[in-house]
Amino acid sequence: MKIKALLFLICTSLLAGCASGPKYTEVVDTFPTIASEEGRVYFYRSGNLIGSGIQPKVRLNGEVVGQSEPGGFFFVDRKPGDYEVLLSTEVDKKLTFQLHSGEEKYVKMSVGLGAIVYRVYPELVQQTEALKDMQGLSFTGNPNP
Amino acid sequence: MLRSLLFIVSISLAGCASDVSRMHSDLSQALPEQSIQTITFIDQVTIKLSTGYSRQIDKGSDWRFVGTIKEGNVFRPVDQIFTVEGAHVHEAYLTLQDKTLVGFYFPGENAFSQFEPQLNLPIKAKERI
Repeated sequence: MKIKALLFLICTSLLAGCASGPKYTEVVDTFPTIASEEGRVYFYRSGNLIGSGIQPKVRLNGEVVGQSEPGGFFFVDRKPGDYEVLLSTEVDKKLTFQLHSGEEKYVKMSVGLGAIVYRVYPELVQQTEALKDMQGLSFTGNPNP
Repeated sequence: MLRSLLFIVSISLAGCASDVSRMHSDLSQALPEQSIQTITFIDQVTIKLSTGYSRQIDKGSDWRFVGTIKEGNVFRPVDQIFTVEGAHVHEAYLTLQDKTLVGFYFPGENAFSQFEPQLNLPIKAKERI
């Protein structure tokens, strides 16, 4: 009985760090098409529970656009131009890229072990990889960004 | 005490890659008729960056000419993503002089990063270069 209670406690503690919301496959068809003269940037993080307590804010050109939650994804639409993604954990890790009209960019946020605690890193990935990764993730963003 | 401090500092620094050196560079956009110029890699290439990271370019991958900077011709990957990583991650295009990789152009920063030693690439023109 004690073991069951302990397992339940461990499971609930771990799951508490995960994003909740509708799954990608449930909402992808409801997303608005990208407006002309805009591009779309997706942000996602796998449901890996390692480092799940580290959930930094996601900044795009200095503006907070979301939070890096394990098992979650969201997107924002922006004008074409130069962009910088910043995730601040133990250290700042930036990603720079250019966004074009009608283009979709995918930013994967991965957890790595830093000098003292876990860090979350942004990386730019290909659409095929991102779409595969996002299948089981939960939507944590604004449906009309 | 000093030894402990040095140990902690060295452990901390071990997790930090160096920043990618770069300088401002303006891209002269390719004319529409030039933007069809594409190169293809006829072999796989691994590029070892001075930051300790490496990048692989696959055989058969296509790169389209997008313009020039004073350091060379700039090619963007077709249907792929290419980045250069150090302390931070930068979306990057290849900068070539003929078939030699001389560096990377960071479109999101209008910057050029020199690559040393220069590397001859196994490429061929897919269209007219």
